[in-house]
Amino acid sequence: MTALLEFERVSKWFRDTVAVGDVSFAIEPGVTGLLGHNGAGKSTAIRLAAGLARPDEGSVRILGEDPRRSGAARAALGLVPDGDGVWPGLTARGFVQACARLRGVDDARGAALDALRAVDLVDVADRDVKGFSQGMRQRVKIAQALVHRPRVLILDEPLNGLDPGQRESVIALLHRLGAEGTAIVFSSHVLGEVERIADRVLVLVNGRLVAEGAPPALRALMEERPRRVRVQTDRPRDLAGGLAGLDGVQQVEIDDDALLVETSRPDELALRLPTLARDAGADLAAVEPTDEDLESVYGYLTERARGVRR
Amino acid sequence: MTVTRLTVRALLLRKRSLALLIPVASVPFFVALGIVRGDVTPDSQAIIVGRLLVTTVTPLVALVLAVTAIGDERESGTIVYLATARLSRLRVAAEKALAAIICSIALLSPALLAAAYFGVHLGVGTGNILRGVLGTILVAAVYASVFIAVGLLLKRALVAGIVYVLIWEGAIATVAPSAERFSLTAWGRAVTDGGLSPLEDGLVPTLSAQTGVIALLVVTVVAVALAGLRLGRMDLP
Repeated sequence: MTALLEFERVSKWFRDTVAVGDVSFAIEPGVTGLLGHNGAGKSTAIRLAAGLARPDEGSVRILGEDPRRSGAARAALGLVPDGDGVWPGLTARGFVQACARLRGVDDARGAALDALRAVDLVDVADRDVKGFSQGMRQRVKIAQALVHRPRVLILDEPLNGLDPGQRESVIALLHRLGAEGTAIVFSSHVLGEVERIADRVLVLVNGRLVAEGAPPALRALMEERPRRVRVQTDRPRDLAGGLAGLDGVQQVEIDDDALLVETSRPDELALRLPTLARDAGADLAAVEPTDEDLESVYGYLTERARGVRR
Repeated sequence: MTVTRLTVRALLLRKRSLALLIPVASVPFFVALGIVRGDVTPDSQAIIVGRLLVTTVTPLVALVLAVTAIGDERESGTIVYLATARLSRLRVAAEKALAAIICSIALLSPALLAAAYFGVHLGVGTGNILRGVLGTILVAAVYASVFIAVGLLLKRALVAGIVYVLIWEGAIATVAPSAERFSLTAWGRAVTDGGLSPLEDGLVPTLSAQTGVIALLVVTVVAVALAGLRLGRMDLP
């Protein structure tokens, strides 16, 4: 079956800088988060996906066709760009209607009204976009991307500038569209956002795809990396010696009334810790992992891709 | 024609575009001056229409509008909405050129009317007046199309265009007869003047009005095609 959006060994360079390097993935219906720090290659990947940039190697396909060449591929695409530019002198309704006409929508007026309703902008539809706040502009951009009911929706940092209420509304909209069968790709450098919105995450570091999968699957990556465990005890110094000799323990730090233990064998630590504590005469007040969230996984993957960790 | 409508609206709302009415106003000014001074002669008509309107003002207006038509879209980022539309990039380039031509004619209309009035005052026939209007429109079309393409090729297209108009069209091509045959505005003057006479050395033939029309149309079409090709190949922001 043809993927809605597919990258096949795509690379893009800007002079001697690799913006995107040998990236392959396929996007199916649902919400996919493109996660990466600033400069990781997210915006370049989005420009490639939308046909705004040409890959130096590899191919980008929407419904099996090159979006740079195929009108049908572009007709299946909705894009929320990063920039706030809007043609001068247009109301929100006028702007969205113009985008509907550009995409060949028969009933541009009705489609524009539906799209503006989806982003709660009907009340201000006849106001000039120039006077809009950043959050309102962001919603107008989302409306224009939805106006032709695209099968593939690509959004570059879509929650930027939105207040908490608006964010909830847009997140709900993305979930609904994803559930209805739209393939949604959105970029973000905010891990909490991605973890909350996406069914699947692609992690880009320095232009490379370093991990992909559902947020729980990314957590599974934690199994192959050192884990940090905070052990709160009344006698940290006495316990530290025993822990340092455990199989898999790479580092033990004393932090006031607690120990920070880095180990590649958390199961071994869990098994032996009670015995070691008893032998050292220490009471254990609390034992808790400190890096179970996606942010820790991302930090680990980033360091690994940059060669800090091996 | 959504791209054309959006571009016409954007161009006419720009202060830069309205500033073009200043050079345009020079034509009515010199027409009025000629009439007041009683200097209504074929020579003064040739200067006002041939040298001022066709050779200087029309290229300037068309090139500024053409470069702005593409440049503003790239600068503001709105070009992504055009590039991701169902339309081909060739269609986008063609509609951009059409918008620049429409706006050029709109802004040039006071100058065209003044030049036509001068012709009526001089007693030239309707045919001559219509040739003047047609030549001006064709020069506007060729400049708009060429500078849509140049705007996609060069970062400083406006500077390059002004230098071209002033140095080549305004100076070299007006004093060197053989260079004139490679001048876009000379082809326009061939239309407005009913043809350019052969050079004295006889090596370069007469440039008829028909040849001028065909040459201007061919360059216009080729320039739009090149612009479409370039737009299709370039990376957009």
